[in-house]
Amino acid sequence: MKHYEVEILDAKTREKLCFLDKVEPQATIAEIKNLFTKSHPQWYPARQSLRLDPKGKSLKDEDVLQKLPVGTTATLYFRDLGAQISWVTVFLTEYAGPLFIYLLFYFRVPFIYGHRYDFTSSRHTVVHLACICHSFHYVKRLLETLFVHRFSHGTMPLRNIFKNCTYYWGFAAWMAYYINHPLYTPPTYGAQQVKLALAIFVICQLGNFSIHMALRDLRPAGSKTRKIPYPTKNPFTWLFLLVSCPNYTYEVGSWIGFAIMTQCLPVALFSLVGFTQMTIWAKGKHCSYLKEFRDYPPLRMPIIPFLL
Amino acid sequence: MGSLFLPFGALSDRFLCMGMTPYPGAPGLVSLWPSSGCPPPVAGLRLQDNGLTRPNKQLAFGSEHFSFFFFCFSTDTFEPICVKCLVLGQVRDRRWLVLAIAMVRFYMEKGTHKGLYKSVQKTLKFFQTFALLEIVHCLIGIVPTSVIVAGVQVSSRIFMVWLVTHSIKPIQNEESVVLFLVSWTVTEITRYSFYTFSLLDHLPYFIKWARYNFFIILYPVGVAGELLTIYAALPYVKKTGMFSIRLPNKYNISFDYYYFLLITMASYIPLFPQLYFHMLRQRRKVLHGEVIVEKDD
Repeated sequence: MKHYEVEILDAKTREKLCFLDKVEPQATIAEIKNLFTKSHPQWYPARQSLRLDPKGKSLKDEDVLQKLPVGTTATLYFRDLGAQISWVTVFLTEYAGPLFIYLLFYFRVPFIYGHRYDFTSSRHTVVHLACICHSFHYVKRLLETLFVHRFSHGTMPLRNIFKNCTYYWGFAAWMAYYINHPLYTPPTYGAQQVKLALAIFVICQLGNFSIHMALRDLRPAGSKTRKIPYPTKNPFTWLFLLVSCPNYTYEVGSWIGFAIMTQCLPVALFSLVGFTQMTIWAKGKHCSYLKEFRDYPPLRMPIIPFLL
Repeated sequence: MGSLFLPFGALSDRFLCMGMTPYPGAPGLVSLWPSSGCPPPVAGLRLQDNGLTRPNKQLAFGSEHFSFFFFCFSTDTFEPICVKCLVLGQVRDRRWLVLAIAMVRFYMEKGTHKGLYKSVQKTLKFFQTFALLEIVHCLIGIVPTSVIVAGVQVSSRIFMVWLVTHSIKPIQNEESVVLFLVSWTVTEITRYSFYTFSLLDHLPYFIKWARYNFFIILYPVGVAGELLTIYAALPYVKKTGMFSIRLPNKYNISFDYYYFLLITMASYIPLFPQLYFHMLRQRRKVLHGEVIVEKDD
């Protein structure tokens, strides 16, 4: 069996970083990354980007050396992706924050509102309802992160955790401040508005969870296969007929429900910002589905049926 | 629409002579006549019977109503030279010159800066708001500045003009207002001269030198002027509670303009050094030919 030789150069300076000989033809990029770490322990595999061309796309961990367009001496270019942190860690941190922060405001811990309000309770039912909904939402997200989601990537750049946490924690504090404020004004249309909004919220939460489960079932444990998602027996998944990313659709729906229920402008603004970001992600996902699958259903839009 | 213009280089001994045909419906022509012994009638200054000029309360600005349709082209070179781009550069340069002249003459006449803001405010507001176009120009590539840098710059200008000096009347006579007005005027004149000459491929070294050196003093001076103005405005804002929303209200939101101003002042701390060092890096690259390796993701 012919062995391959692998030369790893720095993508920017073209400096020779590592030379590996006697590499199995069946070796994957992941194994090469492990070998590279041995000579450069500061660059653990998650922060390595190996590519055939200095300006080209990163090679995937599953790619097999033999199948790449290289001769028996392969030249790979290395790029440092910077310090990495696992997706699970980021998700857990960014979701635990709002859960905890909202409760601080709900229980009116000292130094937030005036001292005479310390540890008092709101007299409006909707405020208690809002706390339950908000907390449920983030508990659901935490549990999904731990037990439901199957991540394509293991890690993301470290600075993302600061960016994401600022966004989630900041908005959670801003919303919670007004909803739990002693001078909070309940919704104009009273119990009717609250009931309707609560129904929207619950339906969208169930929908969002159904989609997450459907996406999980697309992919066996430990694999990174990509398949077109289709509607299942669960009526909530029938939104797949119209939309590529119904999980984002339901998510926006939940927050709109929450905004109507609390009639709080900061919540509406948070929904708007979230919607903008999720639309960008949905469009990206939709485009990559279209590129990857020839037979992708043409009726589907990225996030809003027929519109967006 | 036709426009008649003369190359900038040929105008050095005359005081910007341009005639332009505006859109139908535009208020009129703006043109500056060559100096010929008596003070040039400059748009913005009115010639009185005694031969002196006084600042015009109203400025006629017709040529600004030009179509601003530009074609995209490479930011590495300035080809192709777009006639409208040249015109625009000269238009904008001239308007800042107009402002500068108006300010200088006012001071020479009145001997004080009080009332200066009032006399230039319409021009200032109009021109500075038009600066929003800067962002469009960056987006389509006419001007080789990044959109974010231009965006921050233009936002801070618009903020100062409309949300501080226009809205908070008592501070209009502060010295700090003159400080940033002068700084902006000189900066903009150098910058637009630089762009215009670059477009003409006839860039005198002095203009390049000025563009990349004046800012070293002007930036901090301008920032100082802006910060001092906002600081002077704080007591009035607190007293009147302007631009603020209080609880309780139907939409359960509040906004305190006073704290917003404080946060804005604080934001100068991270933002100003970034812009300043960006300009310093540009300076090293352009004037001293240093190769700067940009950090990439």
